[in-house]
Amino acid sequence: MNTTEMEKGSIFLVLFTVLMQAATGFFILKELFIYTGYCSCNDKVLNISSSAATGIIILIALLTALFHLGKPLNAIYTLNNLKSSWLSREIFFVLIFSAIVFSCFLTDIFLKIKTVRLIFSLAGIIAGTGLIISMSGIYMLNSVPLWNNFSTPAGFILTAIVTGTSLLLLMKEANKTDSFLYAVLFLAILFSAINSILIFSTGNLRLYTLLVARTILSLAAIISVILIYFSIIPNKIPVRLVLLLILLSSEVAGRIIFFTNYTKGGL
Amino acid sequence: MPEYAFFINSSVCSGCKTCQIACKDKNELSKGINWRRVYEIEGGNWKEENGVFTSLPFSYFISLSCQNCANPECVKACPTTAMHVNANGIVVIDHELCIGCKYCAWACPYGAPRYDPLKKVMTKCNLCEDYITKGLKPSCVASCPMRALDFGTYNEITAKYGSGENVFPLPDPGTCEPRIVIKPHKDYLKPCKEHAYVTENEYN
Repeated sequence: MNTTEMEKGSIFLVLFTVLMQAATGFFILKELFIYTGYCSCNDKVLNISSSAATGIIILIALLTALFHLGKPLNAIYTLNNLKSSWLSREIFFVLIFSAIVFSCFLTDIFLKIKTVRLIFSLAGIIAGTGLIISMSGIYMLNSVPLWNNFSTPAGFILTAIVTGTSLLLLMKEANKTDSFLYAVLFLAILFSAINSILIFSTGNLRLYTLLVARTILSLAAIISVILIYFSIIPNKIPVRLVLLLILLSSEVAGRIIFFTNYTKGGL
Repeated sequence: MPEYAFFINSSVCSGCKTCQIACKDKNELSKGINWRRVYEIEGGNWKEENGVFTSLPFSYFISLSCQNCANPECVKACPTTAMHVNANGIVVIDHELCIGCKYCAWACPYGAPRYDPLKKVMTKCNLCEDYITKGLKPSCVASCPMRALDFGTYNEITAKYGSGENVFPLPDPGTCEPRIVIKPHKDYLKPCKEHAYVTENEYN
């Protein structure tokens, strides 16, 4: 019934969710594309640099998350309620996922055993999927009907695909498999933007400016992807970097819309 | 373990907020933190019958704090188990464990847990546990000049007042089984809740 304006501290929560989803999406997509042989990007340099990049993104995400908490030093107790708390489960998966990414990094540098690397990849994919599911579970509350529906997990998965694919495009060398990734990116941006507009239209109609910004950024990204796909814009690193920044800004705007639509079903 | 419950007689509540002030005073709550809150529900519409318009205004008050639910959503949501049911059957917060993530406040449909920006932890009504262990009523109940509030075990309260009604705009009680019995104001039956406004006046 009553609505709460997004608090200042929640911007850190927005950054945490988007960055964590970017890291997860990047890791999962990279590993999937490599092991299915769809992307010819199975080289040592990509593996080491992408694991390092994922690790850095996770580190930044975790640091931003601490600013959202009242007493960050008590964070050591957050695994106490795995039985029923989705937040506890999310933190569990964050820790497992981070440890696996670090293990992948070390394996690529020192061990270089393919079987071990494959086990870490599979474990990382499972932990990453668990992380996205538990992240969605946090917001699917009976008390907040606007969040308690399919658009929440859909939004989180799409953010992971959008940001993960654009990160993968940035890290890998350009080749003919890029067309497939750009097609995936095109569809993910489209559905992510539609999901955000649906959340906005069913909630309290506030923050029009953000929705306009989100729409413009999504359109800019979609047009860029089409132009790159048809080779009108060169498929080069600076272009991909700009595309990543546009998409990150767009997803952050979308997530702020999501959080601002927090409306209690009760009092 | 006893299951404590509040009784709220909305039909006699005048909205004076003495309960709210008594709670703030007893628990020395910081500015902006109200464990007990008095909500004013008001609204209305017009009804047309044979070309004659009749007004249907309504207004009533509901005084709410923690409902000490049998199946508390806040306890389930808390990642650290800071929010827990203690030996006396009361949902309380262990501030040594609380991280101030506010997840319990999101999960509670009654908005009972409140974040204290000074202490940087969540706070909530503890049913004046120190009073009830001495056989006294909680400060909000004892202070009510209209005797609109009562407190006891859930069995005592339901035996005395019946099971009550789920008054608008309270959420479906099925989700967390709140231990609260409400005698509604006569206006709560008026069929125009879509035009209702709920206000919570802060007294700091």
